[in-house]
Amino acid sequence: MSLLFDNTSLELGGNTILRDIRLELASGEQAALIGPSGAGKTSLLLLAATRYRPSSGSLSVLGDNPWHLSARWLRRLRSRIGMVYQSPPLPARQRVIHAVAAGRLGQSGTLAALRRLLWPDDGAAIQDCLQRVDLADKLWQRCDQLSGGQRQRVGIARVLYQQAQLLLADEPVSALDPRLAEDTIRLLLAEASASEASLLVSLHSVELALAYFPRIIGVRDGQIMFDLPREQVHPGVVSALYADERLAESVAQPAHAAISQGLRC
Amino acid sequence: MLSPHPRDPARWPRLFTLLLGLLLLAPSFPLTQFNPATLANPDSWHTMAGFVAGFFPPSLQSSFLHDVARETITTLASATAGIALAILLGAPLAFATTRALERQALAAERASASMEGVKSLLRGLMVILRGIPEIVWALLFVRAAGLGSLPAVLAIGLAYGGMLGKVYAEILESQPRELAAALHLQGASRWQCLLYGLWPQALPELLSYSVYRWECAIRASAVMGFVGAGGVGQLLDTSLKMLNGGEVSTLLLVFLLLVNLTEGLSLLSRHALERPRGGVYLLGSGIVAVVASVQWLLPGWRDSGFDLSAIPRFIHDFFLPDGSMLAELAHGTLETLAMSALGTVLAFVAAAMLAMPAAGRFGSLLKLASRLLLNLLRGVPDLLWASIAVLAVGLGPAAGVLALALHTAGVLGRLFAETLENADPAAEQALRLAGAGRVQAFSYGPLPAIFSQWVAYTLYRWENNIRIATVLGIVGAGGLGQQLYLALSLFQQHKAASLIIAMLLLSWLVEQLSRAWRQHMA
Repeated sequence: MSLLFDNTSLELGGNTILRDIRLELASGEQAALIGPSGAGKTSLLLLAATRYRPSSGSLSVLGDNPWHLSARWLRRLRSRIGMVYQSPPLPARQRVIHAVAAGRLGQSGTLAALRRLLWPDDGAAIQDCLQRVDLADKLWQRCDQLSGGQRQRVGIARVLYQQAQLLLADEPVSALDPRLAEDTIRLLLAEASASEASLLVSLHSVELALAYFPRIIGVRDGQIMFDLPREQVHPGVVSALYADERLAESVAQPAHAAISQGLRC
Repeated sequence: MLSPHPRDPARWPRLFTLLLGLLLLAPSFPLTQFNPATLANPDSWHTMAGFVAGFFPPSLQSSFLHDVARETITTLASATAGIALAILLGAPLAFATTRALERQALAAERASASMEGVKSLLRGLMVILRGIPEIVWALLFVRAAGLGSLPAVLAIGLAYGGMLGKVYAEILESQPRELAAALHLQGASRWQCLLYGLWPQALPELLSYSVYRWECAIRASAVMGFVGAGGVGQLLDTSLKMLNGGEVSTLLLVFLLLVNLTEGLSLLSRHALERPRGGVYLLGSGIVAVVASVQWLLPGWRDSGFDLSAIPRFIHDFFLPDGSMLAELAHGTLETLAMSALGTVLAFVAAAMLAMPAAGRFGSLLKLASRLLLNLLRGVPDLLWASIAVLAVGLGPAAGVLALALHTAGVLGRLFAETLENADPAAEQALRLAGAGRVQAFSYGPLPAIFSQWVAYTLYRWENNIRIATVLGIVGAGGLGQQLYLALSLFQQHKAASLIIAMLLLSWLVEQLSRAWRQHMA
């Protein structure tokens, strides 16, 4: 069993985000999460990624309850969970080789990691991962010189290099154009099957989910509305899931603090 | 076409840059007589601890406190009167030289050659005014005409006048030009274009920069006493020479209070500017402050016997500059550069170590402690650190290195901590979720962006430190300043003239190089 939510709830800042989630994901299984924005898809993935601690109920990831583990074993567990983000969190000035190498930080010592920052090794394996996402020629490029689609694929290459056993992806293709989005989903599915990892992907597009995933999980208002094989997801079920969806509120970005004048004088 | 062992193409350039940096830095150690081994020696730590212990407890004698209060007000008043003089000098210079009001900028008209010549002359004058540091101006006035706060006011007025002239002109140039151009085409004069086309939009920025300069003037005025130009610096100089540690620490506390107070006032006035009619209130209170300052300083000026007629004779003595001391000048310049480089590098290391706790990465207790330490390092001006360092490690450039390192560590530490706090946490968070440890997540997450920003800040500050290193010698901490102080004390005016020219050239060269570098980067 890769993932087991047993009556799991999540509260953040006094608000109930997820309520009584029951969910099982078998080893090697591939499933898509769909639902209106704000339904709790991201929170569910972050619970699985051990970013949040459940407020009640229990959670088991790759056979362990992460919150019963010591700090050391929690790190080991985390190094087996790979997460793909909507916009990959790659530092702007970092080079691609380091961005991909960062995937295995959980499996290496601190000093070795620092040494690799100055003198990168294991270049062949990293290039192999980049080859699988069609970016073999970008090994020494800086991340801010890549396009959005290329950055997303660097994010995937990092998870490939990590050799994770549980792959989580949070709307990995919502910033990509449709053709690239399909290619990326196909790539994720193929790589997950090849390494026998389980895959849980949240998707904005119902069409993509139905086209590629054998199992569809609908989330709404912090609860699981349905959890069905693809063949049983009828149009009626989907429109009920998205009924009177509110427009997503845009979150104001804080203005970047002005650099103080304290340098001179 | 997979190559089995891809090699980092950046490895040779990086290694080369590193070696070049080390190669350039290495001669700084013998040049400044700064020996890092003494820092590791427990004996010198012991001596240092004894030295620091001598500063406690702070002196609280009522007669001394009375003196301190009086001189603090004099310091504030000198700075305020000096800034007023600087504005009176800088504003007309800016009006005359700014490119924003030129006919060829507002309309496609030809410039007249004679006007351009006058402008170049005025720009050259501003370069000289701001190229000679304010403390050197003060030293010259004291030597020419006598002690007291008037040299401090004149020094701030001249040096900051040149600076304000340049910056005011640049602020005017950075404004949108359409309105002034339209007025010009309707036949408006230069004055009218300024008052109706540029003034309204530029005023907040002009005022805000003036207030910021006032803040700098207070720091400058506080150390003017080291050359005999009055204020708290004079008391401090006396206490340091008498080795009265208690008085020194009282004065240091007053310094810190003064610096924090002015920072608060400056922040307050910048907030006031954002409110309606805030500019008017600010201008009004500024005028009141200037009048009160002159009122306070005036009796002292009458009594001091400041002899303005001595100045022309003094200037006359400076001609012609001594041309036979090129070797001495070269040595002084190299020593100054070495001091600034070594001081900045040490400051970078110290600032990086202090910035981590100051950004709250090791708990709130350490955050508070390191912030306090950074404020202390930053609040005490470099010249004051230099005079303390001279007591601690003796005369010479090593004291200058130490002083620059201490003050700059405070300045950079705060900026570094701000960079850390503003860094995007997403990358680091994601790595932690993939099982990375704290150090690993930091060095593979925000480090690349943070490091490049730190280096940019440090280079920028190094430029500033070269200028400061030229004057630290006035209190005995090596470099060109020490040679100048010596020459003036021995009445070798020709030699002093050559040294001042060397300072001017160095400051001009650094300004040009830094501008070229910035344009290259942008």
